[in-house]
Amino acid sequence: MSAFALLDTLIPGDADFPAGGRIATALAAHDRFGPQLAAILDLLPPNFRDADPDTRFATLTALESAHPEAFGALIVAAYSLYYTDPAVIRVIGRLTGHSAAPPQPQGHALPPFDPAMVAIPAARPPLYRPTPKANP
Amino acid sequence: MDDVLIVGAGASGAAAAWKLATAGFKVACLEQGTWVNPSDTPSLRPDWEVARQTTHHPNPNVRHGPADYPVDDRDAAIKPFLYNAVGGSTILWGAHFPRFRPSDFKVKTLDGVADDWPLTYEDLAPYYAENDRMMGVSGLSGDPGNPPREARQMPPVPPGRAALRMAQAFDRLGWHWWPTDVAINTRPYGANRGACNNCGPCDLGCPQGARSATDVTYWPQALKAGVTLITNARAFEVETDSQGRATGVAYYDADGVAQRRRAHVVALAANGLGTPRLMLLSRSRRFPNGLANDTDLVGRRLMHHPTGMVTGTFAEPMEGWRGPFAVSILSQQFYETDPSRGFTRGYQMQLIRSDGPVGTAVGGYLPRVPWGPGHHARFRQVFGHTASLTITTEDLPRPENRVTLSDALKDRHGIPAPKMTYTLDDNTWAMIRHGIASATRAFTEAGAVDITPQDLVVNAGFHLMGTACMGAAPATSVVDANSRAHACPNLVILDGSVFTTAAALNPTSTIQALALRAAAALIRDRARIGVAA
Repeated sequence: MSAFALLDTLIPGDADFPAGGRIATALAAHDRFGPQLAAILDLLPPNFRDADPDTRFATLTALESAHPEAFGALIVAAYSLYYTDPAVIRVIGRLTGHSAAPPQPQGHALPPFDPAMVAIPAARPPLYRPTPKANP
Repeated sequence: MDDVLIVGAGASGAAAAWKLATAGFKVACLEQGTWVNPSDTPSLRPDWEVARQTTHHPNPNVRHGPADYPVDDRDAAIKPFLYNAVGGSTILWGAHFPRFRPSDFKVKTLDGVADDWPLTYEDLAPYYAENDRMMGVSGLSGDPGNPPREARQMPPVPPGRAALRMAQAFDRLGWHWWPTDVAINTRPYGANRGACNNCGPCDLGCPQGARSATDVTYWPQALKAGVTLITNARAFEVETDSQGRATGVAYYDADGVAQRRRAHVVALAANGLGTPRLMLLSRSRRFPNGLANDTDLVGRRLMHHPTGMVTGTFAEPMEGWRGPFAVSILSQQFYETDPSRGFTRGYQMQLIRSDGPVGTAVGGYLPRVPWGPGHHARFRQVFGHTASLTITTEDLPRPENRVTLSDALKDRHGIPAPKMTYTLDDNTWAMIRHGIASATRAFTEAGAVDITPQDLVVNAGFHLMGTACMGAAPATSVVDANSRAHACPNLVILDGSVFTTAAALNPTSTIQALALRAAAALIRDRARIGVAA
């Protein structure tokens, strides 16, 4: 299936991250993003799936140049599903400490504001301009 | 018959509805959207960032929500950013809550440009304070950039690593900075409203009720005071009598059936796009060019806050996903006019935290992470390592920047969409260039290893102002200092359309203060307003 090859070329895997092909099925079935994938698949040459990585990269580079809007829409779609894929989120969490859970309901811990932080700016004179208080 | 019929249940409509109903007025409000349940926020779901690209995208032309109308933006350098629901665009806002400065109301007197407002900061100050109490503000007294005022209701939001770093850089440069005033609870405040838990994406809604939006601040109290709120009601005409006095509003109900509602006073609160659209749609023998449009000013003088952006990438993790994304600290070092800078008026720099994984990859603060070989290396380099300074500039009003009725797009009821025609002038571009240089200097001082400027944030049409401007003279303005139309005294305009000038500050607290002031004037003048027979 060309979708796997397409997505593996857009988002190659490495030692930590899986390749983009893992979201191919979900992307094809997505109500908003599916058409973006289909639009680019329709433009791929028939031998794309079996081409070597360099040829695939060159093909997609040319396609992006010829159809920037459609290609850009696919990138947004692919990145959106890839970076919300549970396996990818787990990798990001392991590498950065970013929580794999949604932002809510846990939220994130942060040290509270410390008023000592403003010692220098608070000592400055007024920066705003005086104005006439009454209208002419 | 209603005493006052308001169109739009957002920031200003909610504030005015509450104040009028509390004073005993019979108030109704037509809202084209419906209630958004804070517990339905995508922030509770693993795919929360997908919502930002689809169902919760800020641009109605991308979002295609059932309550949305299209916006013809073919000739607009800045694209629309708004929401249609009970709460209006406060449903997806970042909750910056600055007040305008005194000089913002006197730009003609002080700088010889545009027009003075017909009121002063001091006129508005009591209504700013009233609105602060209703919305709840977190911040800190003592800012040398602004006049002294009442203590905020809550302490500032946690700054986070990037703000601590940038504050020190501003201090070394000798530049102004201060914790941002925000309409976000840092402690429980208001009925059934908890404290912020620093989740990040305020724009997707807040199940804690910590981020103020008028659906959780004003509306519960307005409904308790007796306001009739009609949702899924799309207004298409303000009706008038032969004298040109407003008699009510025609709208399509939830079933698409045309309805009419009568009122002594009609108040428009449909934002700087929706209000001129409705006025231009409301043609009559008395107003052949649109309601209260004798001067051809309705729709003209459209102002945004053209925004540049500079993003610094740090070698150390900044963990910018922690904390409300849009707010921490700001600098108003370059706010007031200084002729040596080569432009009139000025700009503010606001520190923005960083994005989640999808936002980082698709770009926004930085260009999109490239696809292909090297994708993940770049992602690792930037994710959680950035902070951004927005350069919010003061846009001066020009008649050619305007809202008209589109000849190409209609909404699902067949009503012409608003069309924005908008370009930036040389003064604004000069301001943006200066702001980019300033922000670059600040990030350099802070030790950023990579600094990326963005000339203009295109998707930044979140502050829609000036399209039914306020002024003392009927020949050169649409409404008076009490927000009443010169040509139709029982028509009140409550939203950002009335702004005479835009300042370089987020407008919501000023919009709401003006709405409360307009409501107070209606209460005061109750017996003297000329209503239709």
